[in-house]
Amino acid sequence: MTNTKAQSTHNVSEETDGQITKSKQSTGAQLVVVVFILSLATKMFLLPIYLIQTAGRDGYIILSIEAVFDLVTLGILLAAIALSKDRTFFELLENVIGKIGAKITVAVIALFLFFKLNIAAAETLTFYSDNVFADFDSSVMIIVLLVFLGAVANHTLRALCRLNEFIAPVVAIGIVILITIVLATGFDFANIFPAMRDGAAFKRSLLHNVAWLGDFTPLLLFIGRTKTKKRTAGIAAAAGVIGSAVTVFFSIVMCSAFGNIPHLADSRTNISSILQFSIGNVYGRIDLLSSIFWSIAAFVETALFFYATARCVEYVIGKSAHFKIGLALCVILYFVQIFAMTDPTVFALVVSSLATSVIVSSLSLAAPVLALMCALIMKKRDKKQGNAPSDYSESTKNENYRA
Amino acid sequence: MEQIERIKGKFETPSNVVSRELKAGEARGAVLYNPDLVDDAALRAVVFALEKGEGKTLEDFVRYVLYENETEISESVNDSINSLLSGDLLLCVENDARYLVINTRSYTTRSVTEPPTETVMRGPREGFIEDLKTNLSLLERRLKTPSFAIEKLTVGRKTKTNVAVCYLADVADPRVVKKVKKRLEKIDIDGITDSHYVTPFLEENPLSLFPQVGIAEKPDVVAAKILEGRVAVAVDGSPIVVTVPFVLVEDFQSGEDYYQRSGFATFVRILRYAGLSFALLLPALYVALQNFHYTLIPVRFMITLMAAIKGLPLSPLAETLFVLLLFEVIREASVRMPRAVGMAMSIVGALVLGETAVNAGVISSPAVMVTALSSIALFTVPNLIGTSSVLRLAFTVIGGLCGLFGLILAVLFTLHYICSMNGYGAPYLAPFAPLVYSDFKDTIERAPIKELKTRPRSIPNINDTRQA
Repeated sequence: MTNTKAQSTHNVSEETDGQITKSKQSTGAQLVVVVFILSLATKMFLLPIYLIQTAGRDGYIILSIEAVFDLVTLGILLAAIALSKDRTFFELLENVIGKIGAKITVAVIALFLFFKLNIAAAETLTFYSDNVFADFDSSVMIIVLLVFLGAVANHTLRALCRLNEFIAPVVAIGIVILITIVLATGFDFANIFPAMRDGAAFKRSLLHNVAWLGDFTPLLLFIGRTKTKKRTAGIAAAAGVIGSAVTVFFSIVMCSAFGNIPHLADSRTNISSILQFSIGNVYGRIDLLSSIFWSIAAFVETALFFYATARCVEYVIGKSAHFKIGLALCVILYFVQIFAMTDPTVFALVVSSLATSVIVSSLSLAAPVLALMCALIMKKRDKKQGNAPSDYSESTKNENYRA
Repeated sequence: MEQIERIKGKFETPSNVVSRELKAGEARGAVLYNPDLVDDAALRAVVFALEKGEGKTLEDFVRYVLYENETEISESVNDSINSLLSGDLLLCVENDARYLVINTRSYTTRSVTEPPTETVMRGPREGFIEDLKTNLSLLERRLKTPSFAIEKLTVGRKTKTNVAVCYLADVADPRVVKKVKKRLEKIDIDGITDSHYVTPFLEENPLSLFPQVGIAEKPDVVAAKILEGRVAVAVDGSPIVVTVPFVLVEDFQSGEDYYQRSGFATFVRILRYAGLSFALLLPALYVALQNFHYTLIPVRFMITLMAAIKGLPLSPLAETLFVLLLFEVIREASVRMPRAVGMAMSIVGALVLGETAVNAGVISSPAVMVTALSSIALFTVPNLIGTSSVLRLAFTVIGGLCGLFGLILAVLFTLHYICSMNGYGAPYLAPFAPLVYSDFKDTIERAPIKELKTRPRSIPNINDTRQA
């Protein structure tokens, strides 16, 4: 007997007026992969160096605390995604705090995302200019990055999720090779002890290096647009824990290598340069090649922040102009990067100031909490009215925000 | 006769058609035909039958005289002209404005042979030919089910080319069928001479570098695709049948995969994926590593490389581009040339020119080797040669100018573009992105037929069960 179904077995196409249209949602598997990529993409390039410079061998503890903080925000975001299956983040905000309130909130989040975008872009450019190229002209090379980011803004979230899904194995291979080298060469972890000897430095470092928090904020755009199953949130959380564990592991490696000589740590210090001494160059720079594989995750995280910023700006402006907004963001990003972020002193000043720490840590937590609260309120309202999303159609006058 | 003159008057050169007055049964009539298109024997038989037969009206002739023939009474002059131009015979009788269209078509077709682009060591050797009727019969012989639907359309204002849409009604997604038919019906063109003419109308993005429809010259391949829920479009005059929805992995599959042992077929498929990646990235990596990242090259290999490139007048990028373009020129020239000359051309181009250029110190032997390796690998996926050639050049330029940074971004850009593509509800990069686990049995792996229990879920269908 064959299993003939009246409906199509295919899950990515929908019919509207006889046309096959595309679902704009991401799948649960894609959410898991995105969480994995976000959890480890940028925390391994410049953050450990700053932590080593300020907290010495205890840097990994601060990174662990930040990872836990981020995992908490991830949990909140996953809860919001699970609670709001149909309403997007923008729709939730509109329904709960009104359109004007929603626009102001999204504008603030857009600024935060743009800040995070700049950090991710600057990290990637610094990694390549200081470690991969002997001569790297950031003002020219960034154009290639901007072309990619512009293309991302022009397409759907689904395309970006699929890209994540496709490149995740490459990133994983890079990480596995690096872990194998660390373990196979008998790396000495003894240098991370004794811990917490300089409490003041530890506290100072903890308070001044929180610009890397909030890596999961782009997940706000996954609310109401992800096909989740019962176990999706759990698996995604596990992916986040694994990704964070990997970053903590490598920060321990870096702290044990440079923790006692923090003055020698600079932007050229990374896991690759440490491992090079272990394996030499007889078989080529496998360490650097693996780090380059890892850097693909940073490119994709940058793209996610860029996409999220672009969509937030679109919502605030109230117009669906992917190309124009993408172009405008590229131009602004170019000037910010060239005139500020690629300068190590300016970058350090921006990321290490106490004001940055306060704003970043507040927004990193506030945005997910707000999303969760809105999702809970709407769920309560729906329950009260005894139906599925009630004013959903009214609140989605411009369907393009969903794209 | 007035009816005859009415039709002849529509022709720029009325001598294209021949009219003969005759006694049809008890009536006075005339026949009109195109001598270049009719079958002489059929014409003689019809005229003989008409003259010897009985009857006065067209209906009488259909019922009592021409009951063995395919006939149709037409009131439209334009439809009758279309039939005449297809090789049909028109009969008209006095005091009746209508025409009797009698099928006397004659076709000169080549025999069903193995297509040169899809040769196999094992498996069926039949290939489509330029005759739609024969091509459809080849499919019908393989799909003996009442649910096998063939819907015919005419495309082209001047060519009036017959186009057939073929699918399994209980498998193919009706929305896909509807969309294909709608797109074909919308075509307003003076003429089509091959199935490639309809391809851009069926594609979502005709400007894209990537093919968005499947093409096949073998009935077994098309039948297999129809069985998976795809819709095939066959065009009269073309030996190539187009199938939609299309996903990229189809280009990595070959009809022969299913006639080999599954283990070997899987091995060959892995080679294809690796081959294409190798072909696309090897020249770009060679240039990027030499220009910017020589520290990534193992020391021993680096020493050999340095000795080979010493004293070269060209930069690594210029040198590699020169060799790549030289290869493309030789390939293009050998394809267009007569076969015998083409062979000599390849030998002169590849061996003599390459060897001489290396000896003269214009290019290095590693560059020739990299290009040769890449070019051979390119042919592991023949359907993507055009796309891959352009991408390879683009990657090489970016790798040469921006190193691994640019190359990674260029690859990501390309992948993101492919990820954004969907045709007829099928994600272009499926089952990789989005991940469709069940389809992996027939993607990189070619699982034994026994295990392929479901139809691909990457493409829309209404019945995904193949085996109970």
